Amino acid sequence: MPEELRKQSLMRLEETVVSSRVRLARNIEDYFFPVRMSEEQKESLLVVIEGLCQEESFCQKAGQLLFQRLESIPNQDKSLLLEQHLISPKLFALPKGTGVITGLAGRISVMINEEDHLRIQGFSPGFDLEDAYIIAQNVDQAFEGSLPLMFDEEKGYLTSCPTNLGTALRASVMLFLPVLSASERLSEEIKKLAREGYALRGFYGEGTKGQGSVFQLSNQVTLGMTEEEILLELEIKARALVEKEWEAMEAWSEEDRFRVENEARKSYGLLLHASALSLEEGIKIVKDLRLARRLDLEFPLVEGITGYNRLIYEMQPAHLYEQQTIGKIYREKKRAELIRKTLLSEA
Amino acid sequence: MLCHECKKREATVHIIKISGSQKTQIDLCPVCAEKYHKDMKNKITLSLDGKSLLQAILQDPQKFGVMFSHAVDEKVCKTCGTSGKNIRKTGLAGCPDCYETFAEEFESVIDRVQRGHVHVGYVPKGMMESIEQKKQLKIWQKELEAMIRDEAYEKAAELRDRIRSLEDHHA
Repeated sequence: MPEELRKQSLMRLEETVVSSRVRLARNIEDYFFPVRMSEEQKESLLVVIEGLCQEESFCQKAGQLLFQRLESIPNQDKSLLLEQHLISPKLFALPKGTGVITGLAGRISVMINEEDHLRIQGFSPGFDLEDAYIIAQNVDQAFEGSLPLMFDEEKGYLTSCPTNLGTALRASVMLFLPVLSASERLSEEIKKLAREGYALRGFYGEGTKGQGSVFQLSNQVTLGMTEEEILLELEIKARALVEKEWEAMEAWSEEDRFRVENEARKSYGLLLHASALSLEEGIKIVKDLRLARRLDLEFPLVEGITGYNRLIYEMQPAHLYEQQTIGKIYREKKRAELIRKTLLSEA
Repeated sequence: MLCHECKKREATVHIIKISGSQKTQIDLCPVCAEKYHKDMKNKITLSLDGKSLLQAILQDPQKFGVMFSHAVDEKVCKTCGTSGKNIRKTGLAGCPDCYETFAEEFESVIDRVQRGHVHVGYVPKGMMESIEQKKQLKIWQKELEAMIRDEAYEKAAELRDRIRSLEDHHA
């Protein structure tokens, strides 16, 4: 690939991919799967895992980790874990007999007694599935050395759901797709990807129709492919989607461009002058201004993309919570300040 | 050749199905072939709309060609007590033995969503040895049978000892 094209493709990836995640499901022998476990069984497994997290040999392999029972976590902190994707909505709703391990400054989490005994997740900012996999794999290896994991010669890692058998690996990348999602093209892509064994969903909770134009692309196939094949194929799919997003932009008419520019200017004005911003307003501003980076509007905004990536997570409600300021309007005030501080280069 | 599906009419349509590295041929009569194509079309126009694949399957198993019929209600897993009704409701196995008890149902899910029926990825370190040993045992068993057939009893006795020692090690 000529140097210029290579640079362009890198820039497009950086502008479009928000973060990468890899999840491994593991189960421990001699226990039923969580759906069938008694409270005593769940408790007994929690005790085993808690003990493990305090063992020196385990920590040497897995790193410094914090074990918590879900029921011991205050609601607000639990919401924060959910917003950071460190726990799933399912675990959030299951406070009894469940736990979570976190570490590496929010780049690793292990959900305990969710659908499987262990759901090990590695996170990486930007487009780096390999890095996310290495983080998860490292903790997986520590468990492998300490506990008898369910494994079958034919089915691979045994999981409660047949859709996770084999590698039990689910990888995902978070993508910013404002142009595709504004047209019919996205639903076509979703159908096409579903046929090929991939799911594309909105970021802000299941069922949300891609608010903020942030989507999550993940593999559905876990059996019959190696870990490397799964990660590589997902990477190829993600790259293709990024290219389609930018090609769709190249096909803009004058009018399309005018509309986008106008939305960006309105959002910029709102950001400059609003005292408080709702989540919906915040999401729209970040989306409009991020999209405007692809145009030449000369707003005095930060150059790097990392602030935009961080805001997707950090402007959610639990991130803005403070003991003293519980009122919604104070959170909205904090949101306006946070977005200004993150995006305005002069602020 | 008779149709693979109805087993009545002559098969004139030959479909080659490739999943992963496995290649299978299905021979159908024109009537069943049309139905097959219709089914395939139904299968591939699905979108998930934010649902998990499992949720989508549970909502309409037939559309996915998944065998979660009421017939499964009769079955119960002897190990963990998971009933066929549970399976139809949650799609989840209660324990590893459920994969035996509800083999037909789960295999049909695997057929639909996975790219093969056999794990080809990472094998945990401790397991590698035992899997290799199991394979070795199978090979030796076959050799042993051949030796006995050929009346090479001395060699067979030697091999039997080796098999026993590996089995002991395995246990």
